[in-house]
Amino acid sequence: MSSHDGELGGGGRLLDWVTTTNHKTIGQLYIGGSLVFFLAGGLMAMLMRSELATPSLSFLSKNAYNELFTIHGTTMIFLFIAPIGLGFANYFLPLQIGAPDMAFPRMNALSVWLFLLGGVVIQSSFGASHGAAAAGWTAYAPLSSKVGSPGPGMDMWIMGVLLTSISSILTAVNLTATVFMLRAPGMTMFRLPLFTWNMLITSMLILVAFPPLAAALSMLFIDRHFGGHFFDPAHGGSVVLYQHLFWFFGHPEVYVMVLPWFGVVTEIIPVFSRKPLFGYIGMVLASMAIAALSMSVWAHHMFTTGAVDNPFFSIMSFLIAVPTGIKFFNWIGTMWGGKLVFSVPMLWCLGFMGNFLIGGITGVMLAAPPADYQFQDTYFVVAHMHYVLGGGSLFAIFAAIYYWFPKMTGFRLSEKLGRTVFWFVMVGFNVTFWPMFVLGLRGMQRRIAYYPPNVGWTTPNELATVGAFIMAVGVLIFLTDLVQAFRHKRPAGDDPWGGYTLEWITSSPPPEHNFEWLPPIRSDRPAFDWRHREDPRVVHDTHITVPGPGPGL
Amino acid sequence: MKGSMWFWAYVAAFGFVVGGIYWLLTYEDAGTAMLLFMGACGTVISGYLFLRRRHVRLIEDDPDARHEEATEEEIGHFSSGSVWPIFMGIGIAIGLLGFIFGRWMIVFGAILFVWATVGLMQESRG
Repeated sequence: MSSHDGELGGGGRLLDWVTTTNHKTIGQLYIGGSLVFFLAGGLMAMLMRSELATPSLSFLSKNAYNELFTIHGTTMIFLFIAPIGLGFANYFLPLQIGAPDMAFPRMNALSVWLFLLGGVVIQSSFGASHGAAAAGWTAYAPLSSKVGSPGPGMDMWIMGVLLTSISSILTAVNLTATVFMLRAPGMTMFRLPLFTWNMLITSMLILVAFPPLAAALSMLFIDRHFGGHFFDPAHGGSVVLYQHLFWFFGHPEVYVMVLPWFGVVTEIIPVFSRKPLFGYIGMVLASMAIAALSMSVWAHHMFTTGAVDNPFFSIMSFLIAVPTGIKFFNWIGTMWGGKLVFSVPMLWCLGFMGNFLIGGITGVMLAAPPADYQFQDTYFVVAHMHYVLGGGSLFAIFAAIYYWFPKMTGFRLSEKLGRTVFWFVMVGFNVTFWPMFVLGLRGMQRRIAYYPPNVGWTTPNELATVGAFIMAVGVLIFLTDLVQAFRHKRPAGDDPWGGYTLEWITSSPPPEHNFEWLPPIRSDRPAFDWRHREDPRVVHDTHITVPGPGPGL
Repeated sequence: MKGSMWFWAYVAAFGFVVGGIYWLLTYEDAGTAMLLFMGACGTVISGYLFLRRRHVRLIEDDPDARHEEATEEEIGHFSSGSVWPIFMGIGIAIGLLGFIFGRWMIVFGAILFVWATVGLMQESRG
């Protein structure tokens, strides 16, 4: 294998970043960019929560509020949670499988630039005449039509999301090819780390789900500018068709945003339980089942249209709870009897489990059409979604940052500040979003900037706003932690946690092509095997075999 | 190789089976088409891998493989740093924004994209 030179020589640091094709630098660009967008989306959330602290309109106009919730949702989904997962995958997937780089390094570079450019286009739409898009992150037709959303803001939203979609598809192709073709000798499919497995399955979801989104957006743009009538019932079109196309993307997208973090949590819990993962095969099959089922539940978002087969989508939605339950069972089984270490990454994982459980259970409630008819477009849905994506993904994102930061930089984050951040975010999160369940049950609609003062909505809204500020303090302490880590440069060592997977074998940060050497790979814990190679209890020559139609399947 | 083939075969089977059931239950076109398209995509990839299975042996699929066995293996050339991907990205972005702000931008974006793509190909050929 021939090696590459990394960045263009002779230039400055900026030129190195601009011309990079190295997967680790590209991963850092993804992660850094996503975090900047997270702060932007968070700022929008704070503005909305401040507005909702009192019943009447105070400092935002109705249209400004509509723009804020649209771009907040778009930013968090398309520019933060999904791409930061791709960022961690870019950095760690090749390391975990013992590869020197991604399969297509230049396509990888193109992907990250398309993501960042798409993000810039979406954010800059605030400066457009008529303002940014204001039709919600789902951009339902006809609200997103030329009549419902005049001005270029909506068009910029379409093009920005299209750019990030192309980026995601290219990255998914790259990750899939890398896993299938660049594994180290002995790294069979059923020795892959669970994060890698989950990224492979996530990539499959992206490849199937994002093309319908690109089609829906293209058709919407044609309707807006080229006289199309795809979503115009007056000329034979169908607004329900837009919903079908959008949610065929939209529901798998939920799992594009969640499965990577299932993988992260599954990496971290065994390490901090000082035990092997309980039920490796079950975890892989559960991820596959979740992904497959997620492709067949899209219309549970459309129960109230009256135009879909509610029983079919309801049953398929209920079924997803089964593999998800298996995951919870296995995480608990891994911790059971383990020597638990409550370091910061583990705390975030436990927070993830608690919050995601609430999101999951309320998801089962929403999968029942009679209940969904009551909850549709209320704050109950807002609370559920935030418990899944905030309580689930966000907590695991923090877990990933605290777990892998030492590997990426060679420096330690502060354990003390990390715990402080965790408790601020944990308390703030629940104070923010739990009252939203109450608001939903009391009938408060989502996407409204003001509300009547005497219907029992004021106190929960005040609580939610206080919670949001508590979370914001937590995020500020997190930023302080990051700055201090780079300032104090306390060395972390190559393996500060006693990790199980191959990234903990190499130096921190890893060299240009990741590894100077590799240990024999004889299980799904090669780093652990190598560290304990003198211990007779470690069996080197066993490998997982499972009967079935495929190799190891 | 076989693992990859089965992975995509399962994707294909799921798309066809659920797509068929969905059609029989609903007679709804859009969802059926998307599920069957999912099955077709999985079939193309797993079919290709099925046809290539006798020609390719991946050492990483051997559970007892040693690293020494792979040292002579040529798996490809990793590219040097390149300025072309960012220009390709800017070209695509400008071209798409041209549909909103002016057709001249589409031409400019397309030229930039083609120029960057040619540059990338020439760079790849060394």
